[in-house]
Amino acid sequence: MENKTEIGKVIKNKLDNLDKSPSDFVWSKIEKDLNNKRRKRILFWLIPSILTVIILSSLLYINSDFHKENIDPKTPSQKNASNSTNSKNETLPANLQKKGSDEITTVKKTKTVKLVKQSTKFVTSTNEYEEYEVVKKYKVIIKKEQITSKPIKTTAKDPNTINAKKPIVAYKKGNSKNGIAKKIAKSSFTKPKKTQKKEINKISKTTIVGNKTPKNVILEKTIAEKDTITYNNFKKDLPTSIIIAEPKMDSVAKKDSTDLKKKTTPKREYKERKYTPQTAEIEPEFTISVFYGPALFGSLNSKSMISPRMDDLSKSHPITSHYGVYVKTMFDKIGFRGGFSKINLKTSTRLNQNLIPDYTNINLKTEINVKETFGESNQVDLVQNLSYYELPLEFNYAIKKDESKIGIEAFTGFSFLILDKNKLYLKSENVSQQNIGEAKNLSGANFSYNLGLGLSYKLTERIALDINPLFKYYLSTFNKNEEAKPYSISLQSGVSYKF
Amino acid sequence: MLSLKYCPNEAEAEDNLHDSFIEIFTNIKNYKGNGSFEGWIKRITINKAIMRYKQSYLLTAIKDDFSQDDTVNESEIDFSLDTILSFVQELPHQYRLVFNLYELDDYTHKEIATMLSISESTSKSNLHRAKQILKSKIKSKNTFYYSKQKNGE
Repeated sequence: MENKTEIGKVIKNKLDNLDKSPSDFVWSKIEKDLNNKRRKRILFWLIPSILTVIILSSLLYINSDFHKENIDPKTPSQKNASNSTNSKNETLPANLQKKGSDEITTVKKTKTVKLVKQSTKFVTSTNEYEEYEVVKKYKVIIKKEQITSKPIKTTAKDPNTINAKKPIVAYKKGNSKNGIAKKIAKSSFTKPKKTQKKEINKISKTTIVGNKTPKNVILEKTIAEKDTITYNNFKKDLPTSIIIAEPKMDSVAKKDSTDLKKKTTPKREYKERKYTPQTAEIEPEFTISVFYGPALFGSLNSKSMISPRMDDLSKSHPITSHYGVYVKTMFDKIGFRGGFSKINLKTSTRLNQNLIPDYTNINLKTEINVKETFGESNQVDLVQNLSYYELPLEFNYAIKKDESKIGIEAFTGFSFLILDKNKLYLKSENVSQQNIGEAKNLSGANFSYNLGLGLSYKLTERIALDINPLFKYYLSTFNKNEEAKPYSISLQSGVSYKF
Repeated sequence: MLSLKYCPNEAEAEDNLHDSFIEIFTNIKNYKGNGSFEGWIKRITINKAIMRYKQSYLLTAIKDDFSQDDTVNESEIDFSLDTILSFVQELPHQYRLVFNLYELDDYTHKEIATMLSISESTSKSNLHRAKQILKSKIKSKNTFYYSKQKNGE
């Protein structure tokens, strides 16, 4: 009874019995965990990007307000010009054309590229490959503007000019069969002006339904890209180092393959392999910290923040407080920190006998008579008390991060600050504190540049004590041009918890 | 088990497995979720074995005729799994790689040729030679077994 079978299949069947693979549940759990880690990585970038967007948008908003205030009302034409430019569009270099003997025509082109459609089509599938066809369809709009330098009186009356105001949208040809847009190769248009004809001819693959004398023409260009992407189930993910291309050689083993003597298992030789130092897989660390600490406020050039006439008076810097919450994400040695905090700031100016020399920047309370109350006192201090709500976004770099308990980080970034409290006090040896009003020269929103050092001491794997000396330089404290350069130094001390 | 099939002995299989896991942990961030994780791990392990043995020997080409019979009677191969595994492990490196890839892990000759940087015909030739060696091993083992039975040992 001959029962011949192919030798490879027999051996495969036999050896399959040796395979002990983990259950599908184990694999699905591993893959689920891997997906969770991937989500964590996304979160790591999400927090700082949201904060950046908030800060940038508020910066833009503030700048635009500031710009409006500063614009000279006598030059409205410039304002219109700046508003009309579209920042999203790419402006192509303008072409100059001589028209006739005197006229110079400038053709300005603005290009907009937009992805209109993207479709993926499944082609074939084998055990190893899945092949897809990806079709991307772009819409390119080139807007042409003709500017004739020679002034023409009849511009408004000229019917051509009236037509020109209406941009003519080109007709687009597309073949949607098979989901692939055809490249449009032919161009056809009716009676364009000579000057434009030259321009349009330069653009291939366009179809234009022309106007007799268009001055503004919008051309639509459809580009179809046909990409064939082969998705390999898992080969794609493999490190490239694994497969090394070698020169092709036909080969067979040097050894005598027919040697059938049973070989003894060779002794295991210890081979020292040098592995390139690989860092462990980096997972983002999330830390939340709460802090409270003292803060000092002053001006780098010792100028007064209230009035230039008080620049020469002696100033002191009472200690105030700075407290809040930080969320930090660290990716190995680099990370971001954002949060919410409140900073109280105070400076005190010792007034002379003249008391307050200049009330320009002070919004005085009506019922206060400074001279009557403080006229006879010897030591009168004008205290400026400010407080800001702060949204910081900082970039962290770990200078020392190891298994030891002490960690050192440097961080720098910006804070968006919203003015909360703005008060001016007078105090003397007789009157402890008298609120006289508020400063008028302060802007409601402020930005600061931050630079600091983060020192931490690990209590446990997750909990650490932090001390962060922080220097802040305020960038837009005043709504007028003031010479004072305000800064603050704070020592944030607190506890952090690592997730 | 995969490493055992691709390596000539247990010790080297252990080494291969060790190297594969280092590679897996180092590159786990590159696993994008295309295909199964199991398949990804398997592929890394196979590639490690290929790296290990394809460079080990300088091989010379021969022209084989594939006319010889590659079949075997199923009753002839009634050995323990260890014995069958040892037959495979004892194959010369490249024969073993080609045999494993083609017969046990269902790669095509074209894929094997790319992986081992050889030509397709070499892959086919190596596979045929591997089968011949296995067949002769099985035959000799049987002869030995029957002769023992005959002698009443």
